[in-house]
Amino acid sequence: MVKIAIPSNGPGGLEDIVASRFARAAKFTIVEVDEKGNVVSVSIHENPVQAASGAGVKVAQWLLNLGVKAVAAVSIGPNARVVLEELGIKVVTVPANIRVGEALSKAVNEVLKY
Amino acid sequence: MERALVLADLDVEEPNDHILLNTKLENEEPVTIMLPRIDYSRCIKCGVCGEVCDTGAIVAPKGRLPFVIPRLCSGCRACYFACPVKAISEGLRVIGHTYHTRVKLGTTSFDLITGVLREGEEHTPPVVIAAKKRALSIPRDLVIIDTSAGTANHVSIAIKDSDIALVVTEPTPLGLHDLEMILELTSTLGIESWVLVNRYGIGGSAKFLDKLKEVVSSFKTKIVALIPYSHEVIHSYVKGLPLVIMHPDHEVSKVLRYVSNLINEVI
Amino acid sequence: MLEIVVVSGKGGVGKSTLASTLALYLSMRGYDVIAVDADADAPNLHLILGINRWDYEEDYVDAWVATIDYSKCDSCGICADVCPFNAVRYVDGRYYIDSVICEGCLTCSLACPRKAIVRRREVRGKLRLTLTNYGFPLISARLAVGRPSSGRLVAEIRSRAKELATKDSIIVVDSAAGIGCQVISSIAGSNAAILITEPTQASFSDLKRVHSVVKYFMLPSALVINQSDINPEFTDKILDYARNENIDVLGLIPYDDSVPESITFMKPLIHLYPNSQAARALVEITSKIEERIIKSWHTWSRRFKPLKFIPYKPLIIKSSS
Repeated sequence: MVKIAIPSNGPGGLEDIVASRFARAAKFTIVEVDEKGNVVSVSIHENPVQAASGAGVKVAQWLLNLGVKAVAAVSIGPNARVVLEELGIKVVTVPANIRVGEALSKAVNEVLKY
Repeated sequence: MERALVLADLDVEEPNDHILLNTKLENEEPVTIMLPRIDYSRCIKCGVCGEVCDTGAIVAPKGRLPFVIPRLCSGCRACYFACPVKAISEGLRVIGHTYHTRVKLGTTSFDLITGVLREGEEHTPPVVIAAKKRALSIPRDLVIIDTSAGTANHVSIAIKDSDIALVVTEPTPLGLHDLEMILELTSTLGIESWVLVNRYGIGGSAKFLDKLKEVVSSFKTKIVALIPYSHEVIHSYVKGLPLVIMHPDHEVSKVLRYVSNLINEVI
Repeated sequence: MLEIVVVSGKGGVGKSTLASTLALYLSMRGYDVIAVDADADAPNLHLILGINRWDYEEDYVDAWVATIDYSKCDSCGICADVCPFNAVRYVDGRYYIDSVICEGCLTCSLACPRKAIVRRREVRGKLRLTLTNYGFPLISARLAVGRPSSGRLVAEIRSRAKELATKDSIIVVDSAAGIGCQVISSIAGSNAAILITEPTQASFSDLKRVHSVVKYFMLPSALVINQSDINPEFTDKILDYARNENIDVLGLIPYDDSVPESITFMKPLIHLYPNSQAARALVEITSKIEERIIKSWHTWSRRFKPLKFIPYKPLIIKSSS
């Protein structure tokens, strides 16, 4: 089972549009997939981090605590990128303005490769 | 009469005085803050350092070795005090510099202290504190402190314990609004305020001057001078020469000399 | 959704005039605009737009201050020694924490051997919102005077703007002057930066400093030069800089007395003096922003992204041993 997190600014969920920035996204949709890539569960979380700076760092830690193994994002700030790498959370880059569900598919492909 | 003068440029995010005085900064000294150094042989991976860190500079997931993101660290040392096994020691990180430059202008000279925050650094106060300390360590008759705009703590720390605040405003809605905020600050800090109205003469000046006067008297302070709006001021600014040197007989120069006489009387 | 931040480094060079004109122009063109005044310690955007009342106000309480419990304190003075911000004073036999300067970090409370210091929440300012007569909301904030951390307050109002935004909204952020945490908080996580400057040595020096922060956060950026005709040689110098740094030059605004006059009347320049030189230059600039940045976002953002990511290199002095 692998948990993948996708940021968005709308109501969250697979139909929402992927947020163009990571750390300050309003919501994170966390999807659990099995070894075949089938969706086991979908949950929507409010981004709890409110920070003047270092938001990406705190979001990364929060995602780690939730057991997230991979993140799909359009772009990630310099702090978050370093931290996600150190924490062993895979970053999958996706194009902007696609649906969360599409971003999920791309992430699943990347994650299940290994 | 020559007075020993120190000019302290405490607008450490965007210091300009040396530019306006056309001078290169000298005698650089670093401003340092504490940076945690983790002894991994002692660390028990409890995660407490990450919990107490206000700025997210220590990433410490439970059960894993913590790591530090230097740029985010404010040097507060909460982690140092919180660590139950004393695994954190104090390194040092440079977040800016102070400079001491001897400035010669015409027949006079004075000491310029400048604080400069390193680009990308978040935390301004330590550089303001260091530059102010350096300025106040120089023997002098008078220190003039130039602050940044606004009313946040980079200003309050700079002006704290001053004898007089020269509050510069202008006869516009922006000047009026900001004047109220700065006078609130100076009165909270117990600093006598002299208000200077700059750019007097631009459209609407008379109406706004009345409003400024209302605010000034509500704070029980006074307007000491009106500086007339003038294209020559912009011109000298653009040319990089102080107005009092470029156009010593200009009406603005006269006002500035008047104000400095007032200060001399107080000394 | 797109978030555009207006920065300058130096104060008083036209940030708020540009930000307000941009918000107005885009709103008139039918975009769903949200304006954010991210200068919490000297908010001016509402004045330029002629706003004198707020539809919604809220105390900002996400700030801490340390206080001493004197029943436990034995005046050892360790708090004063360890405070990183010099916020503890000794007066007449007692230690006092200056609540204006205190940033509410945990240091003194962790260092206190008597556990006599606690943190409490403090009202440190106000958030406010108004629905302007121009068809868009303005979110603003005002930090209590002398206090620290307007950076956090800025982050808060930006996230309120995102809560109001739809996927088609354009958020226009008017940042503060400077390069410290309050400005970094406006830049980090935004989509594009519009740099505005004046052709003077001081303004240009300040611009380069804020631009280096913009580059660190990898925002594509554009440039406007205000009062461009007061020093044409310098304007050229700045245009050279823009070329070398891969910044999109949007235009020049000439010196124009209509600008301070419109501020005095608290009416937007493009409404009050639409035929003035400055107004016409501003409309040209904002229409370029619409065409290049908003309508052609993918092309523009790829073209004007900073040339390469320059990681921040901390200057660490290792302590001995």
